Amino acid sequence: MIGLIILFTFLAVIAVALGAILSKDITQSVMLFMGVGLGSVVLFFIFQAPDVALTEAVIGTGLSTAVFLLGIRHTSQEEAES
Amino acid sequence: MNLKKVLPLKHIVLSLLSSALLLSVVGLLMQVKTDMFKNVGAIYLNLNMQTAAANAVTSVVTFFRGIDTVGEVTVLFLATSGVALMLSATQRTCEKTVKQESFILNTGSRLLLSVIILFGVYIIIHGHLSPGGGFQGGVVIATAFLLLFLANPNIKLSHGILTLGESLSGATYVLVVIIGLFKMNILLGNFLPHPIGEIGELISGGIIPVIYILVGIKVGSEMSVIVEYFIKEDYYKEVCDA
Repeated sequence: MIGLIILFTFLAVIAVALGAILSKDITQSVMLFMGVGLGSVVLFFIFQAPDVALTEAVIGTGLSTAVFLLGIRHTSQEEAES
Repeated sequence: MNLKKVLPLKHIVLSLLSSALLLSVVGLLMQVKTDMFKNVGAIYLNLNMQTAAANAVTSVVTFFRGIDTVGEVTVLFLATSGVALMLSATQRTCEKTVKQESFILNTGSRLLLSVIILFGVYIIIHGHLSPGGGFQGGVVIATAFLLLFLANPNIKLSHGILTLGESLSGATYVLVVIIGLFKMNILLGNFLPHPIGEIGELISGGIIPVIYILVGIKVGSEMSVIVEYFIKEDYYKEVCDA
C-alpha cells in the first residue's frame, strides 16, 4: 500500500515538473512548481524526514511561490511600460 | 511546444546513462565501505543521549553541527541587510496610501494572523520535541505577515522593535556559544542542566530550546522585514511613481 502511494507520488511529481517546464504561461508554471514542492513534502514525510518536510512546506511551497509571483508581477509591469 | 523539441531522445538517453553510472558508483562504494554508510546515523543516535533532546535531528542541528547554524544565522542577517539597503532607498519618501483589498480578504487575514503566529510559536517552542525548530517556525510567522500585507499594504511594521529583537537575539545566541566555551571548554557547551530522565518534557535538553527560541525570534523578524520590503516595493511603485 505504502509502495503504491510512493509510486503514485513520484509519478505525479514528475508529471507536474514536466508540466511546469512545458507550460507557456509563466504564472501557471510557478503554480505547477509549487505542486512539485507539495509532492516532495509527501515524499519527505513518507521517507521519515519530517523536519525536511516541514522546511520544504514552509519555504519551498509558501515563501518561494510568493517571491516568484511578486517577481513576475514586477517584471511584467516593466515590460508593459517599455 | 511539444515534448520532442524540449527533450530530445538523445538528452533523455544521456541523462539516464549518467544517472545509472552515478548510481553504480555509489552502489560499489556502499559494497566496499559498508561501515562508512551504516555508522554515521547510529553514532549520532547514540550521542543523542548526551543532549537529552527527544528530537534527534535537533541535537544534530543545534549541538553537534551547531557552528553551521551560527553561520546560517549570519548569512540570513547579511541577506536581510542587503535587501533592506537596496529597497529602503526607494521607499523612504512616499506617504500615499494604497487601496486595500476587499473586506472579506482583510478580515480573513486578520483572523488567520493570530492562528498562524500561534502555530509558528508552537513549532519554535517544541523544536526539541517534535519536527521543526527555530528556522521553520520563524518562516511560518513571516508567512502570517505576508498574508496580512497582501490584504492591506498600508500596514506598517515597527522596524525599531523588530531590529532590536533581531539584534538582541543574535547577540544572545553568540553569548550562549561563548559561555559554553568558558564553562565546558568547548564551543556550544551544554551548560544548562539536561538530565536524561527528563527527555520528552517541555523544559529539557539544556541550551537547545534556548537556542531555538533565539533563532526563532531572529528568523521571524528578519523574514517579516524582507516580506514587507518586497511587497511594499511593488505597491509603492504603482502609487508613488504614477
